[in-house]
Amino acid sequence: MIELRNVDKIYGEGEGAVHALKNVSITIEDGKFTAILGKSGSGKSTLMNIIGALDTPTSGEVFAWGRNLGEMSADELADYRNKTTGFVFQSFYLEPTFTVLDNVAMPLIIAGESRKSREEKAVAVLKKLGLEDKIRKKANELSGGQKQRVSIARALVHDPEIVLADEPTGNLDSQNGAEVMALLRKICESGKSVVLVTHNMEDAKNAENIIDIKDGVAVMRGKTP
Amino acid sequence: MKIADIFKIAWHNLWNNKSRTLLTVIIVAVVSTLMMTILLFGAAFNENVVDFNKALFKINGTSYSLSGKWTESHNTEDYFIAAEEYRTLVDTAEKYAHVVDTASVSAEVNGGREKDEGGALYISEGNDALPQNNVEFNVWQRNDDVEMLSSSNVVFACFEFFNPAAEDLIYEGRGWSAADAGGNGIWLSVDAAERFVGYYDDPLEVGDTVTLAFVRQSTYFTDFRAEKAVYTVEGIFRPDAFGGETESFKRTECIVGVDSAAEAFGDLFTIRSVSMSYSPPETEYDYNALFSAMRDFADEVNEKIEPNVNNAGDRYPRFVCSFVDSMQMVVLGTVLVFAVASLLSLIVLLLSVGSVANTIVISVDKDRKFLGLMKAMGLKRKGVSRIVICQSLFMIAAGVVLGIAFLYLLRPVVRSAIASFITSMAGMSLPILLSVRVSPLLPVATAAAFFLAAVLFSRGSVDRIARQDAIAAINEVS
Ligand SMILES: Nc1ncnc2c1ncn2[C@@H]1O[C@H](COP(=O)(O)OP(=O)(O)OP(=O)(O)O)[C@@H](O)[C@H]1O
Ligand SMILES: [Mg+2]
Repeated sequence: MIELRNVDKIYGEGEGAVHALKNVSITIEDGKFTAILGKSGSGKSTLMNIIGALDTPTSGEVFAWGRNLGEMSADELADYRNKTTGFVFQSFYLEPTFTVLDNVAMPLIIAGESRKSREEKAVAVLKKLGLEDKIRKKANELSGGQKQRVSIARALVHDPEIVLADEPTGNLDSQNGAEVMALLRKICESGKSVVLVTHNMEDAKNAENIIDIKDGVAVMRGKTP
Repeated sequence: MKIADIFKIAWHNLWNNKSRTLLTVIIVAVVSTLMMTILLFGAAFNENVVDFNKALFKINGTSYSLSGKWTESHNTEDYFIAAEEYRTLVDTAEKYAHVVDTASVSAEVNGGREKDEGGALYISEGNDALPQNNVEFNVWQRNDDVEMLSSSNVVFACFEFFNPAAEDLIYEGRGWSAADAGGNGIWLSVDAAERFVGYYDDPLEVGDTVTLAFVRQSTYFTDFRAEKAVYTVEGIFRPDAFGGETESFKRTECIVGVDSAAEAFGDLFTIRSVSMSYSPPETEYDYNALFSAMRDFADEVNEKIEPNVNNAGDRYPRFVCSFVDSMQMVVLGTVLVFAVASLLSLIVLLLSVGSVANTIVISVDKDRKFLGLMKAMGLKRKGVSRIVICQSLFMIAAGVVLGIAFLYLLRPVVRSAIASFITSMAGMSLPILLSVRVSPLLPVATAAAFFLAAVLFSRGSVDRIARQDAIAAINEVS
């Protein structure tokens, strides 16, 4: 479980400062599908990054399974990201000249896993996502939908506790978008927590928990009616 | 991260920035060529000049000379060595016996010069033979009917003719055999002559002619280090002493013991200079040890023996080791050349490494997005720094290899430049084709210097990347 207590995030200083999150207190429950819903610029990505330990709050605390992220060193946070979280980005962020296999194995490469074991794991995940024929392809030879599935594979390869997806369908057509959403739901059903950032009510529909965010103010509500 | 993966990612980053990578490699290449050339100058100077001198030493050995103290007039014809200075030299020489094997003393017959620009007696010590402590004088009769005055002797001082040249009895010494008559002449003062004349049985009369002949027995050279050194006494002919007749320059000598000499000659002569020499052995020897012993020897003697001082107050060491002097110049020159070369290459290094590091920083900044993504996936600071350092390592290695290739292509130019440089520095002409050997240490040292500097310089960019929020890097517009 990840818990944010009175989290504020302010970008910049003085007159130009942006108060992106205002006294946010929320919890991300284990094994649940949580959607963060809000308009553009409302602070969704900021909230997501803080949940995923990619960013630190200006004030307030973040607890992940009881551990206070604010008290962890840079290296401990790196380990936390490497082992516990899996990120899916709107623009995929695959390394274009690397093969699909190397892209997917990246978290394991960083962890220093042996070639054999990491490739086995990557191949297994890619198979599950129906990408086994793309393994040796360069990332830039794939379509948008394939790219996003590869990036989901990358978010899963190290068997994280939680998958964080920031508008994963934003750059996809509706069919590919629907496929990605179905995939995320399947991941949640397999027992992982999934956090989805979206401005699309439709995508949030199937979430068990929804966090509405408006101008940096986040409110938790239960399952959509 | 595994090393292979660090290599792979570093390579990938470099490959993604081909033009920048190439530019950096070329900068490193040009700069390293320059650095290696500069260092080669130093190395070649050292090799050629020092080796050349070592070879000279091997052929010629070295010579020392202690000159007498100047008189006020600074007339170099007039200087003498005090008896205690001579003793000091001999005592010190005992300590450095391993770098002295022969010695000779040049002395002037007292009074000879005053009278008629006469000759001089040369007393020299022989080399590496047994000490001879009981040498005595013998006298031959004028008609070559030799009468031995004592036994067991090998050395003779002989008088053949006696011919007082003038009223004030300046005697002309002559060669030791009749065949040599007129050849080996020396002039002696009355005092000196009378000493020798004293060995005659027959009283001499004005009008008699005596030739002093000093017979040499070369097998009886001696070691000056013996408790009682044995001297060779030489007569020497000065052409100008014979009305301009340019007779060939000849000398005769005889060997006497220190005490015998002192007894026999007493105040007969005054030492003007002492020469010693050393020839390196045929077998292997430690050049540096010999060289420093020779230097210490010269230094120690000069410390103990008063220097000469000219009117301007400049001090001149009295004891000079020719080889040490020339080597000291070489060593000084080499040190200077090395210092200048190192300084130059250091400046070049700093300038170039600045630009190299800058290029690395820029190229790494371009990889920020990818490194940021990797940070988001858990890459630590150490990982960032390893990748960045690996990138610089690749570029530096490629640059230095390319630099070696440049150096190879430029070697005729470099070689002739080094040759003319050394020739002008050393003041000697060397063969045009110098052996400019490129030690494998040179590129290694150059690469190491680059690497070290690049590691230091790249810290900044590593820190920047490590500190930066991963997400900010990712979100940056590439
Ligand atoms: N690094 C930053 N520096 C300054 N301001 C920032 C930074 N990142 C975000 N902001 C600002 O914080 C606010 C929230 O941004 P955020 O990216 O969280 O919004 P979002 O809800 O994800 O929007 P979108 O739907 O467009 O992605 C915005 O006003 C944005 O301009
Ligand atoms: Mg966003």
